[in-house]
This record gives sequence, structure tokens and C-alpha cells, in this order.
Amino acid sequence: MTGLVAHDLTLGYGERVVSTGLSLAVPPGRLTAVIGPNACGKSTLLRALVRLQEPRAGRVELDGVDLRRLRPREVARRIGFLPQRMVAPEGISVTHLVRRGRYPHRDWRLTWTDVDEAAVTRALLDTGVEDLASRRIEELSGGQAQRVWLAMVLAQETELLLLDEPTTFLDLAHQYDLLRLLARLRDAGRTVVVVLHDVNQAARFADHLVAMQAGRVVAAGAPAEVVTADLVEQVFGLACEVVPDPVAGSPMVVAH
Amino acid sequence: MRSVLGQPGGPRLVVGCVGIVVTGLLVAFVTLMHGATWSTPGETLAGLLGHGEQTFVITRWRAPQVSAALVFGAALGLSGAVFQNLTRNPLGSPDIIGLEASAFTGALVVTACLSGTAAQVATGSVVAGLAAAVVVYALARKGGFSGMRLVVIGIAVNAMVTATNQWLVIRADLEVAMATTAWSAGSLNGTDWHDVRLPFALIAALAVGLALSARTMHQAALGDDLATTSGVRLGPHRLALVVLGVGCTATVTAVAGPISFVALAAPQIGRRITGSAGVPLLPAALTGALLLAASDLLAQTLTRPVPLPVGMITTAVGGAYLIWLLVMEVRKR
Repeated sequence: MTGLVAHDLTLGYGERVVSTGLSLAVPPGRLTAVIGPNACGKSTLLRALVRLQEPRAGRVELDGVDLRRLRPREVARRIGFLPQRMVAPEGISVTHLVRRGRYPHRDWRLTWTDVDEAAVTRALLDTGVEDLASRRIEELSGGQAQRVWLAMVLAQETELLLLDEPTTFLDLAHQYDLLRLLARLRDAGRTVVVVLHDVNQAARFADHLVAMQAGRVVAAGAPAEVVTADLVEQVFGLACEVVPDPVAGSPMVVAH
Repeated sequence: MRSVLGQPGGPRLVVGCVGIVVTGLLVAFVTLMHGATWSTPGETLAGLLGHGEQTFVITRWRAPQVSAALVFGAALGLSGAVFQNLTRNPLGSPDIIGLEASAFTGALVVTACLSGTAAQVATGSVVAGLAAAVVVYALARKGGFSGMRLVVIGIAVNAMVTATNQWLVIRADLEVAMATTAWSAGSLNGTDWHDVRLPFALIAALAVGLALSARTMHQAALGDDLATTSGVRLGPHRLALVVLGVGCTATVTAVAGPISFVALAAPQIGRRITGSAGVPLLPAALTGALLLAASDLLAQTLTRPVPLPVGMITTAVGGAYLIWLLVMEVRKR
């Protein structure tokens, strides 16, 4: 099977088991959103897909090859990940931080190639932070900093891009900027997987929705099929009405 | 602005580094002039080039100690930068978290028990330093590599190990005790070329290893998650850094005894002077060399004609820096 596929994963931390028998196929070239209540195992699944969480059982495959059998650098050239927590080295400028995204593409020599430079420039442009290039990270607002971190991951130039709740600390306008950017990246041919809190945003921007509850995938498919009043009631425990979004026509959840 | 290194570069880094090097060499030159009587700059230069009556004194007596101050200072600076990167904390340096004191324990034990050739002492020092690193990490395990927990546990280990060292010196045979008293304060006095050949070679090798690990080290500074997903093998990388970092501090300690605070202060001063991001290695090494050379000059001249152990100077100056740093760190929280 091509692309990123999880087979029958058991995931957990210490004594606690988060998921068992978890399987998922990421549709290539599409924007997939993972939704579900807090602590349903969304982030843990995402971490397993990017080698940050070793599965107790089962395996994650990239184009049919177990991730564990690939060299970390090789995986890093194909899968990019924006975590929830990052550390900005004190005093680093935006450009220099974004350049760090080129790490998996560079060998032990110190040369910085035109390909590297082009990738960094493109990432700065794509995320709209080119004007901030010479600023220091600590001078930026939360929304700006988040875009810079995303630029760093974009500079990695991976065909797959996974993001763990990237909109959490952004104000509303920046949330939509980021979602539109993800849609553009999808249009440019990248495969995007994003954990989102807001079901309406997920339904509007994703091609493929994965709804999780208590460590299991409860439903997966096109937003119009997945987002129903019954499912929202079952997954989030919220009585609601699902109506068409007046702007995009995608399913929209309105609580009772 | 485009640097070959792909790391923060540019004019400020170059100017900063050149400034540190020039100052360091000036300090080294003044130290070369110092003896029972001061030589003139002309005499010193002639002596260095192998002319004049002072050649022997300058190249055989003074030069080894000055070189040791520069090279050992650089090694301590490197070691400090390595551990500050590993712990992501400006307090996480080997002299604060007990690695240097433990390396000295190793050196003392080997000296007291086996007669102790230079190579044996260096080995004992490295082994004890690594053992201490394992102990500190094991005790701090819950908090991981970064965070205050490791630093606080390291400070406690440092206190216990320092006490053990004092006990070892007191309990040692009179002969050993006499020899180790100055050593245990951290001293470069009386260093000759024979003493520094092996440590210089070791430090050169360790520095090459660190230069090759530098880019990965800076990538790891972005947090465990991003480091891993951008292709860093954190486990092997950290192991390599711990070995190289302990190697640097232990090699110095085996010869000169525990010289505190250079490893703590040099990386932070270096990064400020050069306006660098994170804690880079080169400014740390250069600043370490300058700091130790300047401290040694003070140690030799403050109480002329009897020189002080350089460790006393670094501790006095560094102690003040540590207080300032602690206040700043507490304020951040």
C-alpha cells in the first residue's frame, strides 16, 4: 500500500494503554483532519505516525516499509511534523530557525546549497513570514511564531506533513490563515494530516475526516458522511443539529 | 547574509571571535613576560622566536603554562557548551552538576592507589566523570535531560563529591597529600611540556569530534520532538556528546585539578559577545581560553612572587557570576 498506513497499533504510556487495534490509512494528496474529544488518543496516534511514539504492537508503514526499518534521516526527508511543543534557541532569527528545517537534507559537510536556500525562501513566502526574516523569534507574537515554526517544517520539503493541534494558540483570523495555508499545500500536492479541535473547521477544510474516541477510530471518510448529529453526540457527548455551513456548504455543528 | 556553516553567522560572529582571539593572545603574551622579573615585550618576542638569553625561560618554563591555560580553557568552554546544550539550561555545566568534581575523584583515587602515570590518571578521571554523569541522569530521570531537576540534583552530587575529594586529600599519605593540595584547588603552576603533550592531543581529538557533532547538537536544541522528526537519533547523539563533553572536562581535571566556573561562564559570555543563537561551540572555546589565560595571569601576579592556584581566581570571579545567573534564572520562573 502506498503512503502512510498504521496497522493494528497498540499505543500507551507506561502502564496506561491509550489505543489497541488502531488502524488508519492516510489518503495520499489529501487533507486529513483528526478530531475527537480531549485525551481520545489523537495526538498519540499522530506521534506514532511520525516515530515519536513506539507502538507496543502493530506497525506504521511508509509505502509498505515499516518505519522502524528506515533510517531516521530518510523518514525525515519524507515526513514533516509540527509538534505542540518546540524550543527556540535564545536569540535565533527567523531565517536561521527556518534553515534548521534543512537538517535531514544536509550531509556532514558544511556547504549550504542553492536547493537549501530555495527551500527556505519558499517556506518563508508560503507562510507569509518573509518580512519577519531577520527578526528574532522572541520578538514575535504567538501567531507569527507559529507560522515561523511551520515554515521550518515546510523547509524540510516533505511529501507528508503532520501537525498536532497547530491552531490551538492562534486567534480566529490566524486559525483560518493557517487552515487555508494547509489547503494550499494540499493543492500543491502534499499530503496533510492535522489534529484539530474545532469540528466545523475540520469539516470545512478537510477532504477526509477521522473521528476518534477512547483510542479508537469511530468513523472515517468524507466530512459530509462523518459529521452527523449522531456521531457528534456519540463522540463528543453533545446534543446538536448539523446544518450546512452558510459559506462553504460543509456540515456545521450547532449545539442544542 | 549567507554563511558557509548554515548556522548563525555573519559579521558579528567573525568580529566577536577575532576580538576574543586577539585579547586572548595579548593576555597570553603578557603572561609570557611575567617571571621573577618582568621581561620587556622585545625580550619576550625574541625569546619566543628562539633568540636572546631568555629563550630557555620563556619557551621551556613560561610557554607550557600559558599554552595549558589557553588549551585547557578552550576545553572547559567546549565542555560547558556541550552540557548547556544537552540540558538546555545555562546552569547545566559540568562544574556545577558535579562532573568535574567527580572526574577529580577519579584522578585522586588513581594517584593514591596506583602510583598513577599521566595516562592512568586521565583514564580514571574520564571514567569517574562518566560514572557521575550516569548517576546524575539516573537520579534526574523523571525530569529528563532538560529542566531544573537535573541541575539541582547535579548541585547536590557536586557537594557530596567535593566533600569526598577533601576527605581523600586529608586521608592520603603525607607525600600524596602535599602534592594534591595545590592540585585540588585547580592549578597550572609549574606545568611543563611533558605534562601537556597527552592532554593536548586528547583535547584536539575531542574538539574534532565535537565539531562534527555541532550541527546535530544545534538541531537537538529545538526540542526532543522536532529533533527526532527532523532525523536526529537522540540516544546515540546524547551518548556521544556526554562522552566528548566529559572527555574535555576530565582531561583538564586530570592534569590541572578542578578549575570551576570557566565551563559555566565561557559559553554564555561567548554567545553574548558574538550575538549567536543558542549556545555555539566556537565562541565558548575561544572565550574559555581567554578566561583561563586571564585568570592564570591574575593568579601569577596578584600575590607575587608566590603564585596562587588559578582555580581560586576562577572560583572567586565565577562565584559572583553564578549568583547573578541564579537570580536571573529564578526571575524567569
